[in-house]
Amino acid sequence: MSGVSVSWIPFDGPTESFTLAAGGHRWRGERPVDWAAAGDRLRQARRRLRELPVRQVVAAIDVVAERWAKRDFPERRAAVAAASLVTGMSAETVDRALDAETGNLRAPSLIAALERELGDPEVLDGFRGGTTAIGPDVTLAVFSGNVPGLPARSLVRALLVKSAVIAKVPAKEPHFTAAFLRSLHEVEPVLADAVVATYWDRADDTAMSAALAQADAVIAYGGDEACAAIRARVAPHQIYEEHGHKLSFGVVTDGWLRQHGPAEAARRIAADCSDFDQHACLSPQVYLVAAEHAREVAEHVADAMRRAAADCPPGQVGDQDATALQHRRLIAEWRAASSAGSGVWAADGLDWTVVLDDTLLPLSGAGDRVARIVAVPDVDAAVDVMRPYAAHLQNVGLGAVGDEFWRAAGELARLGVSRVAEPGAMSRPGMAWRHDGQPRIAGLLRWCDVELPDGVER
Amino acid sequence: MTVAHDDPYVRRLFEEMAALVTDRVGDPDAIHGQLTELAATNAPDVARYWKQVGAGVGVPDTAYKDGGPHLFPDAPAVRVFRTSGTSGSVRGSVRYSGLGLELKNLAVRANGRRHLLSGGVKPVVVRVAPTEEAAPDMAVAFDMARLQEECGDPALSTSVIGPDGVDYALLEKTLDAAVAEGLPVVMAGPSFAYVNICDRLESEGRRWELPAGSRMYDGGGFKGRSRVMRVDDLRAKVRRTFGIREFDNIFGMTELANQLYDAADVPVGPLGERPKEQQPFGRARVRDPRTRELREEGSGLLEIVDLSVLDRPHVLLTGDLGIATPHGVAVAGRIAGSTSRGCSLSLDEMTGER
Repeated sequence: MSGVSVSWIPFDGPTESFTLAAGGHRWRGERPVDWAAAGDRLRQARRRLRELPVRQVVAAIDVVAERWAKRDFPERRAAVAAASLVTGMSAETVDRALDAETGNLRAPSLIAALERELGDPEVLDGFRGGTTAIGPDVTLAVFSGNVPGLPARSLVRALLVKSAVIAKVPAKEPHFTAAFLRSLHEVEPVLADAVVATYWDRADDTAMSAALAQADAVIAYGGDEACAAIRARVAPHQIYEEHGHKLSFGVVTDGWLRQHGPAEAARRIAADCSDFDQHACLSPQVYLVAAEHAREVAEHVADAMRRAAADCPPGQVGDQDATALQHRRLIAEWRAASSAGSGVWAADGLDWTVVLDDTLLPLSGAGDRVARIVAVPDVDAAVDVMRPYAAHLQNVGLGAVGDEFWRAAGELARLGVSRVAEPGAMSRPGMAWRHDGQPRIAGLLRWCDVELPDGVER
Repeated sequence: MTVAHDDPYVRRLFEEMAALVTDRVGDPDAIHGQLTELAATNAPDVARYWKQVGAGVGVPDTAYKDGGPHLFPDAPAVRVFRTSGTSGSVRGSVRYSGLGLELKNLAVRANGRRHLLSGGVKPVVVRVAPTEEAAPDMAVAFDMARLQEECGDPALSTSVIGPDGVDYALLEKTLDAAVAEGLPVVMAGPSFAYVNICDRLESEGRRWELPAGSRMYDGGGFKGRSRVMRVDDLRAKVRRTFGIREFDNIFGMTELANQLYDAADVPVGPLGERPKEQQPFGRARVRDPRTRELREEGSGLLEIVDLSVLDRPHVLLTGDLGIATPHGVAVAGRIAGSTSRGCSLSLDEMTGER
């Protein structure tokens, strides 16, 4: 049992203990018993938070992010060890995930996101040019998944709009949220005092209903089923933001491959498929590659995957995932043996796998550093291949040049994707990205516009 | 140089396999070796596959969605069976040569005799499967018909599946007649069908106390066509409705020729699945998910060695999870995708293919 609590409750009041089993380990924490009282305390804290100018909020988060950006920061070391324990990811993989996430929380990145979505960030502090933007009193954020540091993004967005937060920590990575809040409390208690981080079981309707009753906005992360269960309980007055099942992929064209060469292309594809051990929804499940280069690229990707594994060791693969992965491999090996357009390159163990094919076959499972290269004649064909999955598409690594880049990006946008990045940068979306296609700061806000009466000046 | 279907070697091999499946006479290892060599000789894709992953590793069932390897393209197909689509929406097909189908016939009959006949009485075989005439491309219909011919009381045995599904009037009439004549009943059909049949009969207040020695054989799991039940719960349900007290589970696939019956009444799998028997002519085994080595204990990829398969590789990677125990290997459902990771989703989950 870990000695550090995975909960954060910044005020007194009755609580109950919980233990959370994840990755063969048990984590302890506390949960408010009286959610109405907890809600009152959060709304009080929110009043103090509202007095804090947005640039001070940004500055405080920047200081915390700067501390967390250092790999030897003790709280970060502990968080890396905990995340590594519970997710099976190597420490280096977790560190890289935190590098990316903390980089997003630095002041320039936060200001850029605020300016992009609001124009003038100071509308959060009061009327500016006859308009002001008001965040929710309390935001409930239900986190899931096992990408280390993931909760920071939505937590910070809620704090930027000066909302108090009830954060349900992800069962598969429970440690980070409370640790981050402890650091935030050292820097700016007004911010951390407006957040409760805790956990309840998915089946615990009582805790969920009680927490939900305190919220003006709800952010849900998770599978389609889990999200649907939350969505069904959201009341009409509550703002709702959902991050459900998503699928990401890559596309590289003949022109881009000629410009970058197969080795560099492969290095980038391998990076996208190796980051987070390919467990993130941002990770590509397939790379659609111009057919004339596909085999050569796949061969280079095999070398690049091997180097990526040496550079950043892959995580432990659990028994169920190992079975699914070996099954996928053997199916791919059969395709390779029976069809001229297919091939498999793989580590002796399960560290990495490269599969080349000329059709996109639905295969059991995803993740664990499987680079699937599928040969396609052109961008239009690539878009057609992904069309059946349109409702779930998210992130695309697009390797294209000139006019073709914009034409492809346009096709992909119309297809349903919400982010286009260059190959090799798929796992590092900036804070300014409209996460899953919606403005996530502005989305939490209610605006008030003043139509100036006579005799009142701006 | 491939070996033709009418080559005397194939005929001799057929005779050896027939003796093994019928009378358990012969050397299974030698036959296994010959079949491995024949597959590598006659099917270049199988040879390449084994070169890549190790000789004798099961060919995935998905291979048959694309037609699959066939060792005797020169021989006319006397029967073609279609797969039910367990492993996806695309249905596969397997072709049988004359000798291949005859081996399947011998194997299914011999296995049936060993399991269905006891005390010299021919039971009333109630097939919860369509007739061969109604479903000529369904391997289960073929197998059930052979079981009935070989083991069933000729007067009362019947299929109870009509054009509109279960023929309840015929089912009830058959069971009533078996009770009246004091003949044990052997019911055989898919697991999900028992759930639905018992639900309906229970709701109508119908139940039977079938004669001693009556037995239920189920197989194939639930496939989303009924609720999923634990083995013991399903058996208790069948006991309540039919008064049946003996149970067995059959594992079969269109890609295989023969079936595997339970070895011991020991719950092993997550739903209480029992281990399958290891016969000289056929057995289940488990491959370690990390090394692909065969493992004596623990879970991994299920592989079936069926020495009654002549027309295609006799080792099949079924796509199921297997659990190896000292009692035998239990089949614990299809290999699901990887564990859920929040918002990250795989392609199969998205299209509903598993």
